[in-house]
Amino acid sequence: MKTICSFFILCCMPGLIWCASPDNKTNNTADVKRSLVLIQSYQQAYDWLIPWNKKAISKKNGAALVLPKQQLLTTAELVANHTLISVRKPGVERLYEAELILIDYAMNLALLHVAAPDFWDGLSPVEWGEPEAGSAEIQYWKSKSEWKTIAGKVKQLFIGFRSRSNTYLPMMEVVASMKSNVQGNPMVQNNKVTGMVIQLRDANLDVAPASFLQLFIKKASLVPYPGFPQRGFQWQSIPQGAIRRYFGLEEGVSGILINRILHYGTGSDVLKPQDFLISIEGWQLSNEGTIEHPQWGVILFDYLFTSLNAEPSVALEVIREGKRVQLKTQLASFFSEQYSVPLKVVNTPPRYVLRGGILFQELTMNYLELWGNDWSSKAPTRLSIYRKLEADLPENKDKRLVILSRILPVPVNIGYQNLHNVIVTEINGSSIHHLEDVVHAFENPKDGFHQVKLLPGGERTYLILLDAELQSTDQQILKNFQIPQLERL
Amino acid sequence: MRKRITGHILWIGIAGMLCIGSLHAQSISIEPSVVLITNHQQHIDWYSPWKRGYTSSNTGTGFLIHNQWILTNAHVVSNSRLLLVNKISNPEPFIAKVVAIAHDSDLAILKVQNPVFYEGMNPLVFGKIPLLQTRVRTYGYPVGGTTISRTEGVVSRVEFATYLHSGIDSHLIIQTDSAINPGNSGGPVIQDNLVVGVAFQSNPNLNAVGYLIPVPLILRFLEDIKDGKYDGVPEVGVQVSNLLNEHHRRFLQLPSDVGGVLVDRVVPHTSAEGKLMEGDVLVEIEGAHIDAAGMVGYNGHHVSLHIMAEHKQVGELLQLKVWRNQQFEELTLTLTPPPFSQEFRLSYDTLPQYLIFGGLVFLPLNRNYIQSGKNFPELIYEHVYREVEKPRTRREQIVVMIRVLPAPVNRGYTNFKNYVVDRVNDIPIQSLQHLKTVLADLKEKTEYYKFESQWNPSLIVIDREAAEQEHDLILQRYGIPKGEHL
Repeated sequence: MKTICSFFILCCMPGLIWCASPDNKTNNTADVKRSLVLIQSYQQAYDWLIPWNKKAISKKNGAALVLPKQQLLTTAELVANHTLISVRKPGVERLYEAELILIDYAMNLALLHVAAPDFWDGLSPVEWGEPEAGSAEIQYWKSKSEWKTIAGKVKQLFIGFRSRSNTYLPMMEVVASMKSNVQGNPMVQNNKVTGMVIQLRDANLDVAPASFLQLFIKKASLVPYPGFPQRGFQWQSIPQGAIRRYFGLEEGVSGILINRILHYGTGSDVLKPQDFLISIEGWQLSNEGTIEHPQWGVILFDYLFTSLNAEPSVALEVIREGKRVQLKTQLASFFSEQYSVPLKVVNTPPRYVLRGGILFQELTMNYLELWGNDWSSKAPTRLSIYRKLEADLPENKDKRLVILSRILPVPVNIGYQNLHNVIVTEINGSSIHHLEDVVHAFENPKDGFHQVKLLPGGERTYLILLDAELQSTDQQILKNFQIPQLERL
Repeated sequence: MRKRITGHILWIGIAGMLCIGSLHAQSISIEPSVVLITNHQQHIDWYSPWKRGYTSSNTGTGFLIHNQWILTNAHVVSNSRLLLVNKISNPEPFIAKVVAIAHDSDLAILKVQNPVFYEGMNPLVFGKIPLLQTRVRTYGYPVGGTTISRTEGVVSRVEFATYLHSGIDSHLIIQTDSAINPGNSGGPVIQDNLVVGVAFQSNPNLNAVGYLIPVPLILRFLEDIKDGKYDGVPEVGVQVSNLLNEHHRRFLQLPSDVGGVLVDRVVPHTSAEGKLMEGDVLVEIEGAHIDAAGMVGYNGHHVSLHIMAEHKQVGELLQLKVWRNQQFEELTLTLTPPPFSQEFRLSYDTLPQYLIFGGLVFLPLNRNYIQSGKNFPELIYEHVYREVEKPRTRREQIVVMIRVLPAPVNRGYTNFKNYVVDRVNDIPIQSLQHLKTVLADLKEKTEYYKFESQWNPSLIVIDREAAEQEHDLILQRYGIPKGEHL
């Protein structure tokens, strides 16, 4: 169930390497044209409500930047849940099929490869530059032969929060009057590509800075892909007041109060609640949790975790019980499956187990999004409470919440058929924390019966299934409901 | 067992076609006993619990019973500042007082001091639960006019449903197919010259449906208040599930000639605690056979087994038969009212408790506060799920810091809200009064008060001296007459 699909083997195939290594001419505006291709992506997401089904097919258009080694860089959203990715060189009629090499959905970035050697003819890798505040151009192919340039203005570098992935990532706010086909297009400054457009937000563009993109490309060459580190703690700002005196903080000492340690992420192994974090890798933290970027000014400290160039370790300085303490920790990357309620994944089929018509699933963000973006108020209360309040608690580390999502009506489950979206705690006396536990527990009936225990407080707490009828019932369900398999793990 | 609200039932008034029929002659003696009630209510702002809110005037209906009592709905007379009643065709209002009120049953008794009021009125007499498909007539003063209205309908259903006034109690309810207008609440529903119910709710999702409170619940209320105080409707205190599944019945080795429902949960602090056990199968209640869906026969109707407890008084006994360890056992429960009812029910007529300290506003969590605001999962967990998942961990009151009144002493916390206070200086907080005591006890021992919540990792630290110094200024600045109401 990993977010990251690694198909590195594709780019190492003999016979492909020799072809069309892109030339390294000095870049100018004309060369930006040679570094940009158009993408047409057909997407079909899995249906988390009926986990053996897929949803409707949709199509997205966008762009990708040409990289060395016959790779293309684009946004993850453009190629998420793809069924077919086609790329087109401007001015050329032919569509080429592209393959996904790597997708980091949390960071909204993806790498593609095109196997056809002639695709790379006439293309040259993008030449990166450092972004700066002020004027910029968004350059793009409006159609397959019409090149457009839109004037924009880089306002600031900031840390954006990608809520569907719960991740912090560096982003530039760019004012430019672009309306569509934005994803994957380059931002050009001084004839160099200094960023890639990620999305249109309100009237502005979110543009990923070149340094972040280059770091992704560098990480992508590593096996396994290490991902981007994220912080492993929660914090509060205590700029003034009694709380500073309570913790014995001297005047002039700035930093943030660590108030909860998560069970994943950077610092979670060495920090403690009530540590006052004053610097990360020598960067002093303000009382609002910002650092002073030499070029861009104040920015949230999370910038460091997504920008430190794959350092193996990071130095933290804290005030702990009145004393300054130096800590060393590893930059800890972030993967969806480390969460008790896994963050949104793409290109990954839902896991499920079906027994006696009872559909068991694990609570995931994909599942909660069945209730839309405001799932926290619309999803069943117990499920949203678990995600919001309990999933990150240390006792839930390495555990999933298994739910009885719904019941396919067959005679053996008469009396239970109204149950849906309830939490499963035990089956046949075994605690249930993963779908594998469900499979295992059903292998061990007690006195010929299976007993499923739900979290109390709902319509009922216990369900009983007769083991002798389970196998025939399950086969009947596969046939009657046209379901391909009883489980997918 | 109480149920959560499942519908959007509204207070009703019933109006519509005046049916001239066999009941016409009887209506002549009924109408003088039916009165219009005007309630000048004052509303409470739970977000600013010191505020005494706007007033509004609402009307309902009542009718004379014995003892010169006027029976009506609790929701007609709740949060009242002035209650006036008018007799039929008489413009002179009489001042009435609430003698007794039952928020769990949505019933109330009023009395008028002036004896002139009672001239020409005859007390109405109670009948029984009407049979299905029989006609009943509802009297009242629905909006849209000032004269009495009579509506006739047919009894279409007798079942258990939520009484919306408290938001949580489920009792027997009688459904009729009358057309509905607001304002009829509290009006008598008559059959054969006898009162067979009190009109009280409707359901906007259904066409032409009105609901009545049946006579047994009314009589229970009248019996309850005989000693001068209202104890409430007792509850068994179990959560049960159906045993419609054949394999489930086989697993429990239930004899084929019994129905029965499975006890999923015994609610702490209730009648059932220490008597019933999780896994018991309830097969009989007060001698009545319980079917596999949890229903019993009752006066020719098929209703929830809870009917057998709801007409009893607190302290009375309840006979149960259970299937436990493959044997039948007889049990006797002493009935008690449900626990935490003040917090679980919507409350009326009482001013909110609150405490302001250092500009932090503390409130004991209750249904009113939850319903007045947004859906905060931590509050709902504490209010609803904690006791279900971790029995006996609910505190006497759940103290919530609902908001911060910005002041120098609380800089840095002004955006905090709905912060469940678990500990102050490491002392677990049990109630608002306890919080007050803890703050006072610590006064000589600490410079700082540290507030902690298990749901919010952020600490709140308040300087004791600054809080004391700024207290009066905060109250003055925010126009708060008193810093606490406990």
